[in-house]
Amino acid sequence: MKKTNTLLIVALVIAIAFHGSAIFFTLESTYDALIHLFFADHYADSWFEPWDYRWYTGFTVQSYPPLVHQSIAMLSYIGGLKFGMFSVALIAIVLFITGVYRFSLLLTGNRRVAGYAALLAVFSSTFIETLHIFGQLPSLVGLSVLLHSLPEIYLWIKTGKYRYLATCLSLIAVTVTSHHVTPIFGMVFFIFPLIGMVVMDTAKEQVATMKQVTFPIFFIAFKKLFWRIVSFGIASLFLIITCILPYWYNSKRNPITQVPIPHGSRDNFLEVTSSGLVFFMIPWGILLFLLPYIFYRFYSKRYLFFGLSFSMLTLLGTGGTTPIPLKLLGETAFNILTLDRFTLWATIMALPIFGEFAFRMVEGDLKAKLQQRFGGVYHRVLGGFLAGGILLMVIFTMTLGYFRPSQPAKIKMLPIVNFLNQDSHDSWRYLPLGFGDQMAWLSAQTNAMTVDGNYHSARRLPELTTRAIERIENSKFRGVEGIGSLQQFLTVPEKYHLKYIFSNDKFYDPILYFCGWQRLQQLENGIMVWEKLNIPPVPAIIPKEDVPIFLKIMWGTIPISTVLIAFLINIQLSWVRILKSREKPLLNYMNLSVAYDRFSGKLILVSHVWALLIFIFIGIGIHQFYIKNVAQHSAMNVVNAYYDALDFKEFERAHSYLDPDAEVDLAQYMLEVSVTDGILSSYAKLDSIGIELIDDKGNRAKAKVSTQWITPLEKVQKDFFHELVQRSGKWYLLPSTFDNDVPPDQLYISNGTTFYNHGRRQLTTQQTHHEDVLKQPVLEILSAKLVRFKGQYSIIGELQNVDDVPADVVVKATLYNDDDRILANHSAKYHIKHKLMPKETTPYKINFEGIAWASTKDTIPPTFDPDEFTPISLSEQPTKFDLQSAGNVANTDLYKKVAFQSLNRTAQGFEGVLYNFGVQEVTIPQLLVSYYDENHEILWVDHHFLRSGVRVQRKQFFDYRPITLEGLEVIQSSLDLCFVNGLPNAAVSEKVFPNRDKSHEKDQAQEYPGNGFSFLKFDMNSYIGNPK
Amino acid sequence: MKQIYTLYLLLALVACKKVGEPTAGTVLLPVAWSNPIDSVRAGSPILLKFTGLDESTMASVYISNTFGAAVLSLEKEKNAWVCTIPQNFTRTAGPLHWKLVQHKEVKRFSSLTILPDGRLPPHVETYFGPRSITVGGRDYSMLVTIPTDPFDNRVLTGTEVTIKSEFQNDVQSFEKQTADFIAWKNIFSTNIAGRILVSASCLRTDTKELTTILFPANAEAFEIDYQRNHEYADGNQIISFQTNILKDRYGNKIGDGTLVTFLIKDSKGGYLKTTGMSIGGIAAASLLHPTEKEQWEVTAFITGAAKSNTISVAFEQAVVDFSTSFSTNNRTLVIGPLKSFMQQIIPDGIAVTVGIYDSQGVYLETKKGTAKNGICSFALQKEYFEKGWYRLEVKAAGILKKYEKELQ
Repeated sequence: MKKTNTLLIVALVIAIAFHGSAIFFTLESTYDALIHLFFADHYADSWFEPWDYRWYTGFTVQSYPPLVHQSIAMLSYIGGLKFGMFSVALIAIVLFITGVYRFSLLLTGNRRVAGYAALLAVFSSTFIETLHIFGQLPSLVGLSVLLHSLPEIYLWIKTGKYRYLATCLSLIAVTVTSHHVTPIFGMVFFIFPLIGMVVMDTAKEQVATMKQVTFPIFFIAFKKLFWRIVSFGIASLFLIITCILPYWYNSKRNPITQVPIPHGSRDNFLEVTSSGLVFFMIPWGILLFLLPYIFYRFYSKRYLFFGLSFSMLTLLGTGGTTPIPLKLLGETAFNILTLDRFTLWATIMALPIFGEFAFRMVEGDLKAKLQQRFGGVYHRVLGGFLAGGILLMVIFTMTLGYFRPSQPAKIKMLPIVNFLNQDSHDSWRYLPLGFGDQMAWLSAQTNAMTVDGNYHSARRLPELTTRAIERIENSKFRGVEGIGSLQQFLTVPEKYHLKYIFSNDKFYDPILYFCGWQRLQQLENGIMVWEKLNIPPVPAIIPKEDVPIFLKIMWGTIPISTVLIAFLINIQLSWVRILKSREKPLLNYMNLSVAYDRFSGKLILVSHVWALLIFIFIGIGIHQFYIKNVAQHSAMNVVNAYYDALDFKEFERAHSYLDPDAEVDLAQYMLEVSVTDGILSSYAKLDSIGIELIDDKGNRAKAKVSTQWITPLEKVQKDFFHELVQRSGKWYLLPSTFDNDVPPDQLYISNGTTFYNHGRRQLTTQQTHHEDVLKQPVLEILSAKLVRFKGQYSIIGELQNVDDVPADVVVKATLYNDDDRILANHSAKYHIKHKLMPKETTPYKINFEGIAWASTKDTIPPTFDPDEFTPISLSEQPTKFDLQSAGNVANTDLYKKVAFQSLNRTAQGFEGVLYNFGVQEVTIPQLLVSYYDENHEILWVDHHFLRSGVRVQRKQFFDYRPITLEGLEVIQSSLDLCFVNGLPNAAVSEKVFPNRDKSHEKDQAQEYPGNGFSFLKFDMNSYIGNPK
Repeated sequence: MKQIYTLYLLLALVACKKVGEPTAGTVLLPVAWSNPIDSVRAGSPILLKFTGLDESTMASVYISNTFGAAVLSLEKEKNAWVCTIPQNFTRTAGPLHWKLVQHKEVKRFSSLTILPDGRLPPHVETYFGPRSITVGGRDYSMLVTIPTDPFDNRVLTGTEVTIKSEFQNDVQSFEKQTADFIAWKNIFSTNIAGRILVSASCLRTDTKELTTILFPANAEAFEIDYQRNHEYADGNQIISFQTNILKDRYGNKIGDGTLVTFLIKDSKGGYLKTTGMSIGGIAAASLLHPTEKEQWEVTAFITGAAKSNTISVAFEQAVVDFSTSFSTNNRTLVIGPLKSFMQQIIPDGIAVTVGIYDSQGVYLETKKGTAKNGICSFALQKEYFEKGWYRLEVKAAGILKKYEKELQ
């Protein structure tokens, strides 16, 4: 008896020492912990007010059960939010270990076995994963408390003592307020089988042995216990509804009508092996080897219902590997639920049996049997293997985040928080990019608002809910939907009062630049701040969805009360019993322990066969992994490997695939590779690669490599040609030739005009002083046309900065029908030069993008295409438009020193050369091509991003194929409703540019016998990745 | 009715000169006064004093002016009931209405006017904008002054405001009177670019200086020229184009940063383009020399405003000829050495292409390379080009050479 408690206490001590110290290194980089921290911050700040403006332009925290958040909030009053979070995590650890102990004790009735189970729970890989990788605190707390409630439920149904009804209901209430899914599914998967077991036990009391329990006897016992079961069921249903009534109210009012977000737990684990690892291999861990024993035990008569439940959980946890979970759950539930929780429950349900196995292995009949059959050494080896396996899984799981970080490196938030607090920067919304889940921690520290958020069920903007993205912040991982969503926010940021972007990932830089954003400053923590001009601040009063006062009071008081009540009722019963400080009578279920004396010999055999199968399975996996990675086995493989190396910027590996006879040494290769900058080498991710061997001649071959790259701007397709050679059985690539061009001068001297805008010259906490506000530069719209081309409506034209200072240009167009009803509005994205020098002109094109997949039923394209454009679906024909342009003084990104060095007409179009005569390296050059008809009237504006950059004093070659404009229809051409800084364009034109010579524009367009057009004009827009 | 109302209107300090001399103490007025004192100076305390009120129920006074409205209670003071008007109301200029209400009945009502306090120097807010205008006398900035008393009440209409402006040591002064809150003056641009300073004074208050910048008007027609080190098309040296000093019609140099587009038409009809931003009225831009004989026609534009003359730039062939040597099996071509105009080796990077055609003249492939140390070599592997006759077209610096060779 004394030893039992020792095992539990050892388990608790190890758990607190091991997990309690590890959480300080893991919890903050988990997926969920910081989200809970943000919610906690909300409660700490305004306990009873459920509306939070900081995410998603406002959302309600009543969309998640509040207990854990409120507990963290309460503790945060003592030592801050993180203190609160770690304290709650420690409590969760203790609750979990004791919960498993009590659950095991209930199931086995053997303290020793339960002690083993508690000890194994400490090292359970599923627990480690849930806590240290996922950070699902509410789920853990909910589950642990549910485990604590199980013995009480058993005792109530068995004995009918009201004391147990009170204890079990009080614990159910705590479960409900900490996590909503746990009690609902816990009901089905834990409590139903438990009830079955009680009935079975009661039935057994009627007869001598379990074997004699037949269905009639079982049914009689069931009838006897029926009202206790029903009363418990009704009472707990009542608790589930009332304890988190505001949550249900909110779910009803704001039903989740969003496009399902892909989750790894729904993947086919055999296809997506990474998901298989995280959502199957890790949680199961060493238990995989013991499945035969677990099933054998669970399908014994007493545990029969647990067996059914366990089988179901195991099956559902396999996600999309088999079609069964989808059929069982139905499409909706399958797409909303994350199926890993079923595996979590299955593995935790298996812990008592695992404990039992450990007991039998270490000191029970299995030990005896193994020693008798295979000898003592084998038993020790087997024990060592199992223990080693457990430890291996522990280390593997704990370090997973170290070797494959799921989050960007920890960001120091203080500079960002300070930035938002200074100069009224929090009067606008901000958007973090590339922060991972740390964005929640940023949000928790500031009052500033973002359009993004980290709790996707609460998303409200249709731009977000219609796309399968969790956050805009990590949109690059979500392909077309992600970048598409991001582009909408970047193109019309004024709609959301979005002015600042904190970029932690330079991948997004080009799209920010080409959407008209500019770099403001780099903070001390390396985060680049981008800003957009011409954005109005957030209004002082913003709408919110209010809820009745009583719901707010319920939400603020019930959860903590459930804990207090549960604590009062249970403290005496459970803790005293667990720690056995006092002798108490044996609990009812303690009499039902079985004697472990006859371990089935067949089971040993089956288990060995099963373990062998698993080893074979793992072996095949490793072998396949190896075969895929033999690089120089064939011509195909070497090209694949070369591009793989380039994609991950492993240049040394890439160099090893080059023909050694070509004598390009690594230093030379690195030099040649490192000087190429541009969208492909700096901002692209290889999406797919198609290799075609066009001239396979024995030990030589030519390969045409069709690559598709994802860039933030568009999907890039580029064909490369390589010559391959086989030398002593290994295939190599012949190095491509490099441009030998040498600029004429070593030192180049350049001068230019630079600009600086003070912002505020005078310190003030009020609005900027009148005299510190610059005049908006005056623009003139030279032409504006509404055209329809390929079923899309666009507004195209040209405008000029007619002021004497550089201007940042924003152009917004609105379409109307004949009855002057607004049909759509949008801003110019990247078919415009957003920064204009005095007297510079730019063509522009405004495409009217709808919110992509406005209906969630529309199919989402399976492949990734950031350039994919969703034309708005207009209910009526637009017949007129207005155009609002605004200039603001610009002082950055004014590089204009890229010239057209040559432009030769070819059969297909143009072959040109750009020449950079300035002192900044242009990372992404963009051509804007305007098309004119025979009367020099503008018809269309096209763009072309060059794949490579233009280095200082060097050339870059490009090809451009003009498109055909067949079918283009000019619907309206008018400057009547064009406005500049709110003033009519005609008045501006008359005042600032009364004697405009219109022949200049004509003189600059060159003739081209195109299909549907007669003249072309090229303009340059240069993105500089690293301004010096 | 036994009660007789007696109304005392107390003006502790009577403000305006129109009203009369400031008095201290209490002015008692009979119930039905014929010529009530109806105006006070902003900021002076105002007390309403009533006698003979029915004391059974509380009476109250409802007051309203532009600050807002309030219901005030009365306090007993000896024989009279006194109502003190709060400071926020007495500091706001304009009519102040009051009503004495008792038994839900208006017993007495009247109004008085609070006038701005003209004794202290006023605050003068000034606004001047736009902050930049164009020369030529058409464009202007507007200076608006808003003089107010210390309680932020506008001063009396017709208050004198002096507006001063300075441009290139020429100080001008204008007398204006306030009307509808403000006194204002349009400051028109001159024909000379520069900076106009303005200020204003009202009573004893002077304002800070404000400025507007006079930017030059649009440029007029201009001249361009070019500079280069030699006339040879070596594809390496830099040619730069620049304008003369760009001026507007009044002779002002145009503003820094103005974009000038140099449009170059080459002899094949291509429109090349390079742009320069002006500094000190001059804009300059560069291009590389072409790689072959060329004739460029260059015109510069400040689009819509001004255009330059057209100049013509001719480039001579730098590489007059080159040789191609073949290996014994003809599978390796060495082109060069490519030599420039002084027989020096041409700078690295000039493009060389080899077009490969089979014996029937069918195009097979084009190989591209750049010369290093004047040499560019190509290899034609036997795996791709089987034995036989081929036509090879070597092109460099605009010179095309054709060879018929048998690859072995």
